[in-house]
Amino acid sequence: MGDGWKGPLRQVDECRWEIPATYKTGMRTAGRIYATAEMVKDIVADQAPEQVANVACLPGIAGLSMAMPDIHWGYGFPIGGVAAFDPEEGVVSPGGVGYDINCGMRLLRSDLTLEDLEPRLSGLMDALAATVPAGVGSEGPIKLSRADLDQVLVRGAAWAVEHGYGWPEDLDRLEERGSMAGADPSKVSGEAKKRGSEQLGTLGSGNHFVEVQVVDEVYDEQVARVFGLFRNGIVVMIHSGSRGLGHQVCTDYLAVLDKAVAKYGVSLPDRQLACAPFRSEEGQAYFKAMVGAANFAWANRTCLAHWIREAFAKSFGRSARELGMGVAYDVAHNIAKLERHRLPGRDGARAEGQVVVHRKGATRAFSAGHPEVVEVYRPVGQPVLIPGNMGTHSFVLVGTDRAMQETFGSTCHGAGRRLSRSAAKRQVRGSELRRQLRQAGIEVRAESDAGLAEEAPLAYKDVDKVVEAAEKAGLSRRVVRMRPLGVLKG
Amino acid sequence: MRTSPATGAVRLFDHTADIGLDLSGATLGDLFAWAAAGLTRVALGLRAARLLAGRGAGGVQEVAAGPLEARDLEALLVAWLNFLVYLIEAEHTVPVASDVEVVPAGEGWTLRGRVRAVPVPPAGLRVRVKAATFHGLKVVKTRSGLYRARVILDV
Repeated sequence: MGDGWKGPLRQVDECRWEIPATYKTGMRTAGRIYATAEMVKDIVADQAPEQVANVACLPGIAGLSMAMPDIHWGYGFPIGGVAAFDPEEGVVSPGGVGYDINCGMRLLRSDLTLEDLEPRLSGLMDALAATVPAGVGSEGPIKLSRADLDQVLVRGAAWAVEHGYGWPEDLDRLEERGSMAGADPSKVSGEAKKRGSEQLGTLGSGNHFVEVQVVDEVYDEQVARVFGLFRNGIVVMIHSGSRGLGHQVCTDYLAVLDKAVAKYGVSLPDRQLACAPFRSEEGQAYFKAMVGAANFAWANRTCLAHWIREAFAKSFGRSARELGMGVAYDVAHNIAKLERHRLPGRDGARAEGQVVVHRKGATRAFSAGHPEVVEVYRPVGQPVLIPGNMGTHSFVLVGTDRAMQETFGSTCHGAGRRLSRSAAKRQVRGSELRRQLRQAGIEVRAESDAGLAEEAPLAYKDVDKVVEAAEKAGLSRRVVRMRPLGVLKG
Repeated sequence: MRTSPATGAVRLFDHTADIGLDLSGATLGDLFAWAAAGLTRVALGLRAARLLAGRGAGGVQEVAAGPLEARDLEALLVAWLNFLVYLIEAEHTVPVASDVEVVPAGEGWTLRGRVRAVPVPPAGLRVRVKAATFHGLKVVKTRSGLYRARVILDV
């Protein structure tokens, strides 16, 4: 951890804090952090607020530089950072997306109840551990030719479904239907393709996981029903991204844009914010490669869902269809998108226009009726999937009008880390944590005790408070809460 | 090719979810070689890294490094580490020794040399390094002529 942040933070209301645009030279707009007073004490313990101010310095920023309640120190943008840029005058920045492009969440629902699951939980977790490729160097059974990989980059989840790794109706419940338009495989390097060629359908390591959960609280029965969720129902949450392919795309284009910064005369407070005008050759090349990596991630989570369905079918002796294991939803939380929003004009009136919205550790939270919300959920709004951490709750929220007005339709993405990996390991032994979780009725399958300790619940902020702050601020609304029953750690 | 550079050192430190390297060396070649050694320690753990470095010639490969070019030493250090990250993840080989030359070239810097790498399957890695970052990155030459650097790895 670094030294605490000493800059000005003005409280606007219970959950809104402002960094004035006058705080530092180069800021083009103010910064806004969504958090309670209690959370702010943690937030200013490191330099994350400085990163909010740094993002405010980027050319063409539209509206405020924002951070969601799970803000913590990242690279370039803070984690939890949201910023939008004018596509004609503004920039695109890999630092606003992150290394794990389209890291995100998928939630599978089921018709199973807690009573159905409990007697079979241990066997199910063994089946998941045997079926889902997970861990530091995980490679999967899918070996892609270059031609196939290029198709994955362009078609995303649709490629996986066509190759038998998903159901056609899955696509109706994925953000962007699991495939963003505009990918160009020629903009993805051979190195990135090589890193990705053996990793489709793999979970990865670190904070990636598969978690079997039970819905233990329903806040909005009507919306929960639309999402296919019910009290005591069993769901499965998947957290993974674009694996080595996405990491390499970010690495490649940080180097390209680091040079472009001088070419386009952009002055940066932090080199990790390397960027280029969105319409420039370099900016477009990054965006087209990033879209390809995002599509890879949607295909990846589709394949992971396929392995999970297989494990459930094996454990229950019934097909995944018979178990009702459809997709509830799938969201990206590290991505840049060209979206239409109502933007404040110079005269204060709002007019609709396009912006490049960067969400880094933030989730899209579009409200009811928005044309980009998938048709099945358009009457109620977009589901927002918020993971907890092993021993803690997870949530499904729904997007709101307030988020559309203030945050380009964005909200939080999870708990947010508060301890380093080493600090977590100093505070809890993996074997002890495994025992504690088992006592709490949570079955854990993890490659190593050390890896388990690094991701201990105490290493993260309190997700209940993060979600509460997002709801108090009006950025999203709770629909259901889940508690974990079984965790497969990457 | 030495498994430890003649001068300098590497120290690992915590950075929230990630790991940083503090590096030193009397020459840029040594500084960059320590960066490679630090990356291997992160990927394998110190004990396994030492065991691997002491291993005989079985399976050892020599890989040409570079030429890598960058506009300054900071960007070159990131490019160097990311080249090694790629070797570990895509080629499944972990560097155990390196001998590199870092020289000015035009308006920037160039690195070239060789890396000795040992095959390690993905399951043999302790930590998966995503990339070397520009975050908090610095390379400086002290008054005494020693090079010092700091780089953070996203893991």
